[in-house]
Amino acid sequence: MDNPLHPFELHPLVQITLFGVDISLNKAVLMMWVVISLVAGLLILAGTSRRLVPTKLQSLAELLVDFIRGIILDTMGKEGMRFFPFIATLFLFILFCNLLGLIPGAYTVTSQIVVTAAFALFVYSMSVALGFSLHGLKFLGILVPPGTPAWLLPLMVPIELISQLARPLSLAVRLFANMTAGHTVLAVLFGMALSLPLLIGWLPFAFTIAINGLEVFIAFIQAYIFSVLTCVYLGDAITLHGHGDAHAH
Amino acid sequence: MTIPLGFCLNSAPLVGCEPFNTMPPSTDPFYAGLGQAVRMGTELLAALIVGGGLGWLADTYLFASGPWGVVAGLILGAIAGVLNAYRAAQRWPSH
Repeated sequence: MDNPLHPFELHPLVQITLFGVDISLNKAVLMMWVVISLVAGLLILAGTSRRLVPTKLQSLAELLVDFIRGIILDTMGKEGMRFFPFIATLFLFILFCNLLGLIPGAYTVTSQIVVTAAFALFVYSMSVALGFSLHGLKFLGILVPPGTPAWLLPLMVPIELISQLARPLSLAVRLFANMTAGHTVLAVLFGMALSLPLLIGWLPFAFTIAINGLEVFIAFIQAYIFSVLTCVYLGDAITLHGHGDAHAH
Repeated sequence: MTIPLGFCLNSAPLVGCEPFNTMPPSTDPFYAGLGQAVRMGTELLAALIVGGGLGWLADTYLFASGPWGVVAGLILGAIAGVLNAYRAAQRWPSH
């Protein structure tokens, strides 16, 4: 039986070396190009004819815009709207990477921790840079939860520091682990279906179909979570609460 | 519960498909709940890894303090993880 982790392996398709740096083309790079051109193409197409009674594509785009706007207004409020292009790009890129990866033979870019970690680190450094540029050194106040007595500071500051540093890690690992786990399960079940006789083999095959449906759902949820948390972290940097998660609905 | 990909794509006026004619608002309790559920596990784990990692770094490169940096780091990481999970849970819509 094939190694269930085989679909995650990457082999260069075209060997390119530039100034000693290996920038070979592989499946993941091609998938990212496909995703970018697909997202850009669809949205540009949807935006060309702005009709009062929208076409199918236009109403889908409007729903998306409305959805992302809802996320931003919920977590950051009105002033967060200047991050709309960034959040929308992030959401759509991750969503399409996740969804297109489900097509047999395609590659799930988000199952590479390099990709998710790059996103997570970028988002987190952006929130830290935003915090420092808005509040200066007062931004370090997020390491001290409000109402901490002075004698608890030596304990609370390391804890808060760890909880801050855990943010990029949990962002990266969550997306990567969910996509990898889902595809591994699919690969294992499909391997079982192929290696068993038809009499029992149809059962794991039926499961692969069911789990494929679940994966579509997970692809959406993971893209949603990633963008919500990006908003929450950026919102923390704006409002300087340190735990903006806590503001009630 | 609204299935995310079940939008109603009638280009005709969006009558007759009320339940599906919008994407779920991000405040949809089902979504918010599921989002939180997905968050919790990694929230706990990530802080533990960061805590242990920082402790190990301190042990190896800063002070030759034996295993104690890792021990203290893991304990602090566990606390930070619970704190993170608690904060994530506080955002749970209560109504």
